[in-house]
Amino acid sequence: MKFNPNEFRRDFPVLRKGIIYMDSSCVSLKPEQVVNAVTDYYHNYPACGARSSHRMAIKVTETFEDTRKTISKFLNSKKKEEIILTNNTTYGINIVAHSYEFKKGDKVLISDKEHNSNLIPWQELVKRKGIKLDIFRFGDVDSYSEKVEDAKFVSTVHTSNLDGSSQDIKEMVKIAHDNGAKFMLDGAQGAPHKEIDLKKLNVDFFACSGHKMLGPSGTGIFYGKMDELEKLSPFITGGETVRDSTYESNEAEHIPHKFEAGLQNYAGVAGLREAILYLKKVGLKNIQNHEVSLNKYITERISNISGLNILGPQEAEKRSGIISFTIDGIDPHELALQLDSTDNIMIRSGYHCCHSWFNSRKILGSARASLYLYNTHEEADKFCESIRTVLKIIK
Amino acid sequence: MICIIALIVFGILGIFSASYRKVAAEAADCVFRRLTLRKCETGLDKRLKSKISGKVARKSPRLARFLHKYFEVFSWLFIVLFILSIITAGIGLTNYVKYGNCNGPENNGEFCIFDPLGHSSQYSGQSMASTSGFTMPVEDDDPTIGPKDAKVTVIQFGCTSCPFTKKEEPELLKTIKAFEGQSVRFVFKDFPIQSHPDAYPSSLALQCAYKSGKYLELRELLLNDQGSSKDESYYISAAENLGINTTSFSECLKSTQAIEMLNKDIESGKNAEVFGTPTFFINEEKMVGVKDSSALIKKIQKELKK
Repeated sequence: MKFNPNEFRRDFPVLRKGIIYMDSSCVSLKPEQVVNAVTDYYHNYPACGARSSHRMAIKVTETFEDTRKTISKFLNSKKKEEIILTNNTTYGINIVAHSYEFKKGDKVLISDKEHNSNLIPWQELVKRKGIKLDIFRFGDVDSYSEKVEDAKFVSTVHTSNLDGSSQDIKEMVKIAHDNGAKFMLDGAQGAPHKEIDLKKLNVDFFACSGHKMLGPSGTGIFYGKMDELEKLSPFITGGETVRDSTYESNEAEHIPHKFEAGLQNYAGVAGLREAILYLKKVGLKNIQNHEVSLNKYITERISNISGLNILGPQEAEKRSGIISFTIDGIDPHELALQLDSTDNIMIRSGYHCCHSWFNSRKILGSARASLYLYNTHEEADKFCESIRTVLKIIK
Repeated sequence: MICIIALIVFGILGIFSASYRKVAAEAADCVFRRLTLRKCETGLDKRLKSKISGKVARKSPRLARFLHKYFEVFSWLFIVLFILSIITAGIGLTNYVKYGNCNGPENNGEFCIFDPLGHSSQYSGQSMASTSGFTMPVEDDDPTIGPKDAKVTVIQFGCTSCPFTKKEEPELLKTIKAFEGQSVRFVFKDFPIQSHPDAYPSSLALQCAYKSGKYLELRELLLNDQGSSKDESYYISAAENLGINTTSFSECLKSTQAIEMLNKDIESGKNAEVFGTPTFFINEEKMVGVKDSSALIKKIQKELKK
């Protein structure tokens, strides 16, 4: 059956405002089911989980653990306890950066297209612990293979938020393991758009954000293989991370609870569960195909615009749902602002939190349209037409 | 530059709606940065530029392009217009405070924002001649009503060609009647307004009528006949109807004495910074424009009680 985004658009109330939203790589829109799950928590059981024993608290705990189970199935982790609920991808990466036993001289390898979230935590470790940070060329297996030889840890992005291109993670994990290195995958742009099978990928750690995959803001997922999680000592401790404590010592909670310090975002977690169920209902394969189809459609229509340069691979099918581009002599911020004010089209402009990549190439940012399941070919047409109109105004 | 305009516009809107206060604060930050020779970092100028040209683009992309291209020029233009508006409004306000009319002493009946119904500008005016300083007017061989040693003196500068002096007349007569037999003296000085036709010859004729003891009679006639055109024969005929000797009246019209008498009145008005008629001086208080008899009576009574 052919995928029809119009079947789903009615679930996204904000689209009734006549906007064309193409900034899903930053934050996706939320379907009504997710919003309802969040409000359901506040209306019907606004209590704390895993602590009190009254009915509402039990309902909270059940919803929380059910979400963990749903995520575990969605990402195909070996055990549901390997799933830790966080605030976002950044939080997950920081758990590893601050809890893994890094020593002075240990080499951490990252790509040259990392989001600041997968760059800054390691730069901090360089300062604090004296680790060595090395960079390989994104998607270049030769560059990677050469540099991974003496690496202790690899942390890299699956799909770049900068241009939508992806890396062959399965192959990279194998190479890392063959060289005795552990592997952390930044799945912020991967998980919302393609099927992730953690068992098959065999990554040691994985992190992604709920708000990029139809979930509420402030929700995230962190995964670690059980034997790897056991080696980590939590860097944030407190309520719910211990089973017992005296004035002198404490007994740590079991995994995953020992990594979930303090009162959790129960409303967000309830919404995240609905988001994942929604994605499963639509089908990630369908989403991926739809995005690529739209990307091809847009690429064909804008690539002949004078001075327009698409970042990353020129083939649309290699760029997932992202079209990141510059136009000679045009400030991307101005372009984005003008698309919004002229035709209600919302795209991102700037460095997309990948300052390092742009600075090294002396590029002053780009305009980025990022697509998702609710975008249509009619919107794509409007986007292409609007770029031309806007260029007539600002060029 | 658009930030300056944004600060003013959103600052005013912000008084009424909180939603504009944030933009006003952003604009203020931007203006402050520009004044301290730093770059505006809020991006407000870019956002406003895009928003305005974006809205225009929906109707006319060509106009939007023009607007976008010359946005800075338009911004400067608006700044200049704004400064000019402020100056003009300031002048208007000063005029209103000084003359009761934002258009200055020469009241041409034009609209004044500070006095939309024109209550404070019911007078015929003209530019004030520069004088060496203010001098309170005094009675000087002028037509009068009331005792010479009165406690209160009401001096009216009037022009029989002025519609506002005409409008004031019944109110003045009521006031005179109200103080009959009391210690109030009414003094009439002629102050012909240049823009009114026949103002000067009519005032001259009044001086001659005064010499014949028929000042108030001719004054009433002239006020009631403002519309007609007047030449020498008109005044002579009017004098004849009032029982004035037409030969001496005719001679008087050509005499320097009448001119001197009138010029004294005019000079007295100028020295007292009179710019329009009617203008009253009740003892030392000046009142410009048409006043109800009740207002005049109230003021006179106040003076009597002193």
